[in-house]
Amino acid sequence: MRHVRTRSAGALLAVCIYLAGMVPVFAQDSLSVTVTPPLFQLTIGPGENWSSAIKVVNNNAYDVTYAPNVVDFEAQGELGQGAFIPLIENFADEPLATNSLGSWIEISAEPILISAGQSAEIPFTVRVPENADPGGHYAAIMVGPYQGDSTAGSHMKVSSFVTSLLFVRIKGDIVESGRVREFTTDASLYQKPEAHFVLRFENTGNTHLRPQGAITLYNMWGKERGQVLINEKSNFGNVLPRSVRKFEFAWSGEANLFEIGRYSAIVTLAYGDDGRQNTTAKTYFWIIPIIPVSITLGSILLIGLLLMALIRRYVRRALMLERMHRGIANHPDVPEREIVLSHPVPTLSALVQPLREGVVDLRSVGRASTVGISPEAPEFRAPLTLGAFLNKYRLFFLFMVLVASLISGIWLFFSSVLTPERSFEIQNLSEQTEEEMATQ
Amino acid sequence: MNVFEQVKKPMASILSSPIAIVLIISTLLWMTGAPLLLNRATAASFTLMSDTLQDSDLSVATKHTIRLTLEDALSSAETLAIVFDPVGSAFSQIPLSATTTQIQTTGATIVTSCGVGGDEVTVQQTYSAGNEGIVFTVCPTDVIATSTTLTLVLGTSTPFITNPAAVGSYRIDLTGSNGDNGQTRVAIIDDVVVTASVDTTLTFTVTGMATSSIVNGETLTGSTTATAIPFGLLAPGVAKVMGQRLNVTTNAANGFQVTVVQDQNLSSATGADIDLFANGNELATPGAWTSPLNTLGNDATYGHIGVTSEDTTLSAGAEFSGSLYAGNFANARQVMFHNGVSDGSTASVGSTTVAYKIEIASLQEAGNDYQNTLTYVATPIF
Repeated sequence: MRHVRTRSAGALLAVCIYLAGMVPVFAQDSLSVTVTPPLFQLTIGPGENWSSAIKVVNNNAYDVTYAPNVVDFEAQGELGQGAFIPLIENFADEPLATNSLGSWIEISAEPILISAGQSAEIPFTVRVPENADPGGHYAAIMVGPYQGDSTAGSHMKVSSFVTSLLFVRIKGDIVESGRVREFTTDASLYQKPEAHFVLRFENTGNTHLRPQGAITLYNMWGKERGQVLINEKSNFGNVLPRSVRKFEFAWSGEANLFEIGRYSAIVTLAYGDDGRQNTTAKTYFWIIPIIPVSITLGSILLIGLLLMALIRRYVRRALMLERMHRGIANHPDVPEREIVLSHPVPTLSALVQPLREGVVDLRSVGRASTVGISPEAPEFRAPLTLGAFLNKYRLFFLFMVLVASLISGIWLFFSSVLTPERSFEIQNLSEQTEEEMATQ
Repeated sequence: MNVFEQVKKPMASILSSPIAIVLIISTLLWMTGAPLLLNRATAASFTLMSDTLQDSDLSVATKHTIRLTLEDALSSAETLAIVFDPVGSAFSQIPLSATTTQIQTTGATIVTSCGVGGDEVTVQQTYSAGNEGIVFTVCPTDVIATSTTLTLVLGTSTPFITNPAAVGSYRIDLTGSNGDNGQTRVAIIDDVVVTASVDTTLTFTVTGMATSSIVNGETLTGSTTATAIPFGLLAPGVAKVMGQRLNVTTNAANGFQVTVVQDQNLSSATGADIDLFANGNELATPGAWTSPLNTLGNDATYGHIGVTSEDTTLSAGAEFSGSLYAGNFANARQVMFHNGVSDGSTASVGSTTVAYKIEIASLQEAGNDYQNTLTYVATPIF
């Protein structure tokens, strides 16, 4: 074993070429490499050592020689990607020596021949110096097959690597600090019950954090309409120090006309190993399906107008009965309003007169209203049938139906928006599960 | 009188009535929840509120460290109530026999009975549904001054508040009888030991492609292996395109990315080189292929090589769509990306193809030994 610290600056590829020259292998149609695990996470103190191994599997149908290479690692971008930093050969620079995890890793750089279908472990040891800075330190062990090539003419040699990341937390003055830097939707108004959330978490401490928690959605009446769990049961989803990690989620709720209005979404994240600190943020958005809502409101308006028209007819009917009762003729040349104003204001008994008449009519359904009067007599009225009764009071029944519809609508609205259960779907756009992939 | 006329009259009547218009607008606003937007009269809020849990796992008794800064003073007999999950009462607590040892405070002095101190408080547990929590009461004649930062440690050595049994975020209300109030939230998670689960693996495969295969709309002009892309003899004005298939299989939840980087420009033993697309400017945003400009005196324009990928779900989206090429692989350039588990075969999930297109012009120095090394690196998304 030798300490892999003799890497020239920018020598990552040079190492590959060097090793390729050591282990010439003929070109193949296909070349694979498998490593496990792809991520190590550990906490260790200054001056302490920690040993483990990377398992390398040769899935190829032929023997392959593999070799490891160690580099430092840092976050790049906001999607959990990183950049490799070749190790510096000369560690005269003290700050580098106390920060470079790659330089603390001892691993055999000798190529390992692995037979087809077999696997081997590449052991390594992390030797933390006494003066190591506390906090997070990051490195990557790259493993790849090195293939010689004898192709003539202009060509590009191709090498391939798989990396296993090491996230090491050095004990000491560790600062675990983070905040939700952004929690928004991509639109403030949606016409369907759906929303796309962007969550950006900033690590302001000196060690990596894995924020875990949930986004909970509520409708305007405070009823929960969905919950998405963040980084549940996972070692991934880490945010490196002084970096921002972006998570994206898509939510879609059950299509329901009444589930409209202003929604709120609250994200709560817990992070930290020394204590589970919490940070929370809230955002709002509107769901208003404009066409269905317009149709509904139009219908309500129409019902209201119909109700008013029916009430007006009812009042006119009451006035007419009152005029008949007082023996006032309804002269066609005299406006109805003037007739009304020229007489005493109708009393409540006048207003309920149409109902009384209806009750009387109802009692007379099926029998003649003028018993003993000859059918030829002018005051004779034929027996009131049920059909004739319903037809005569059709507007009254229409009025009742409209009122019942209005009451039912209001009841339905509240029972719908206040229901505690409503189906919804959440898709974590930053992380896809096997089930989601299977449905593609 | 037809229906329209029946309706027209009341409608005109409605619209001419300010009261009716107000009622209509009110109904519309009410249906969309607009009244909830109105700012309600609120008292001052506590500032810098937080609750740090010793353990946020399900159903475990854990220590809470609650911090807040008072906006107004808490005077004699006034109270500060902490209520855990007032909506669902999902937390539970064990009655304490010794509150002064299991509940500790800074910024105020907790006592069993009021004494001579000036910032003493007594403490009481509450258990009723929707009111599960702790109440601190300021002793007579005492006061907790304005802007005091209180740290309330609940369960100093023996935690007595048990986390909810269901994953989610839970509200904690802090209410002062002086009118100050505030809310904070904690996340309760299922903190399983992931290392005991199935081992995570990452498998990366490079495969050569045959002549006439199609990559991102381009027909390959030659065949490749997993370890070499042999362009052979390059003739001026004749572009060559060669490709490789990349496959990644992983059960890492957050996925992976594959980058490609070249160690140097394609270089000949004569010292001549072929620059990156286009004309040496290392195009980062993919663009349509163009022949080298062949400008005398500018050898970067004598020939160039670019890369394209069929992956439509790169971090930047389908940036190569339409047979576009990039030239920025002197540094690591992403050619494959997926944000979840990968089966190694589904297009743009576990499988994609990449191609390299090269073309020289008449001023490119002759040579059939232009060589360099491409390196693919597959990395888990951490």
